[in-house]
Amino acid sequence: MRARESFDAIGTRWTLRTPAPLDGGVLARVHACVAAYDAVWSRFRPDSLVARIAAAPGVYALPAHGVALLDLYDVLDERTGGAVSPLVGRSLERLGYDPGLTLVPAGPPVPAPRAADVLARDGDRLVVHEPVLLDVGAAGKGQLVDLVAAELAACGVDDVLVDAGGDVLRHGAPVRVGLQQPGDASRAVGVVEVGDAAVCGSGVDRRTWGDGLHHVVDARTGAPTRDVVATWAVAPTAMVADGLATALFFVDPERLQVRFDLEYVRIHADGRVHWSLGLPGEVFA
Amino acid sequence: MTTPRTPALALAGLTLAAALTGCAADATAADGTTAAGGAAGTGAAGAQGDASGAVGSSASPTSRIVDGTYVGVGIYSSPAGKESIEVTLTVDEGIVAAMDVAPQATNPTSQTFQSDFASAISAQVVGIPLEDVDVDVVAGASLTTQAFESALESVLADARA
Repeated sequence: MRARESFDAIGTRWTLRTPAPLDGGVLARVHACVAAYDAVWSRFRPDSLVARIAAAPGVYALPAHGVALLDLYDVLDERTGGAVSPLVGRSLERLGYDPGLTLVPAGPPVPAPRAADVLARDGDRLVVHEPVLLDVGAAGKGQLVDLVAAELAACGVDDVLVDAGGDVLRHGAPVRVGLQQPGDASRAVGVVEVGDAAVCGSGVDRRTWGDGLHHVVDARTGAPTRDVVATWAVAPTAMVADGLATALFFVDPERLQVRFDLEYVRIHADGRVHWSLGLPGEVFA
Repeated sequence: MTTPRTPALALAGLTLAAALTGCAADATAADGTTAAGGAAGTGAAGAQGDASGAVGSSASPTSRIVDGTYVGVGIYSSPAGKESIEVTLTVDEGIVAAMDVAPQATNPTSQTFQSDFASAISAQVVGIPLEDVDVDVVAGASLTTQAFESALESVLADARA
């Protein structure tokens, strides 16, 4: 996988690795795919679907992939007792993670509204009774990784590693993915081998802006999590791996394993590490 | 596979009566042969113990588990009937050097549960320098963009002022 193409998108650094360089037409399609996704889901621009939903009630059309994303969120919401939810936009803003990136809390944490109270889904229509600010960071980046890989596959590029700032999807022969030690980018705490699968990591050490202020919030309280500091999930798609990596901050893995094909690693603040014995790799402990 | 510095304790999602009793008292373990096969079933009738308890209880702080390989079979009741799970421990210099958990379930649902819920915990994760680990790519917390880093810088500058 000698050729690399890197760019910034949806708030993180992406790298596409392929055997041969991607041609301009293929890259244009990738960027169009990313731009379209951003135009729907970005919380940081005033013209996105998310911004419109936050401004006024109404019936909004979701893109096809939005149905799959919100279906996943429904399951994660149920599995985590409401801790994982896409309605956490206002909670994140309150903590300072707002469009202006003020990164200073505007007040005490505010819980997310409950989905049933403010919106309903009817196929690909989102019926919004009360304006609400959505944030799909828990699984959206993973989904975009899947969509980019699908775009490349449609262009005949089926040997690729998509790395979106730590969420990795591999189409092709297995690659070795190092699990970065929280807080130390020069070290790994384990390695997993993924081939035609994804491994997504979620951690509180980078997107953090103060003592206890980071982006993994519990929708029930609006407050960032405390005990778990890093998680990785291995799953067939990046969207599911991303969503499960988030969910692992809030519930024990067994609750997720009854519904998903999941292998995982989870690190606690005191250095304890917990991992599935079926993990395709090893943990250093 | 790196040898763990601290014992990794395996937990099964279902209550597991791992009968790993062939420890210090079992003389045949000294030559490294599989021991305690006969321990299967003892204390295994629906007992609520877990694997960690079984290992810890037979090795007091002043005694060591005799080096060797131990096999324990846990029997438990599932809605589909009695199922068994086999745990093989290799003890080297008094600590658990390797552990293998092999589901013996015959019922497909039990097989799913046994393999899905088998997990390990360790008291302390170890970070190894990347140059010593052969990897193609690193997965960690989401890298932030320059915009985020700049915003963070200005917040920190304000805090310092």
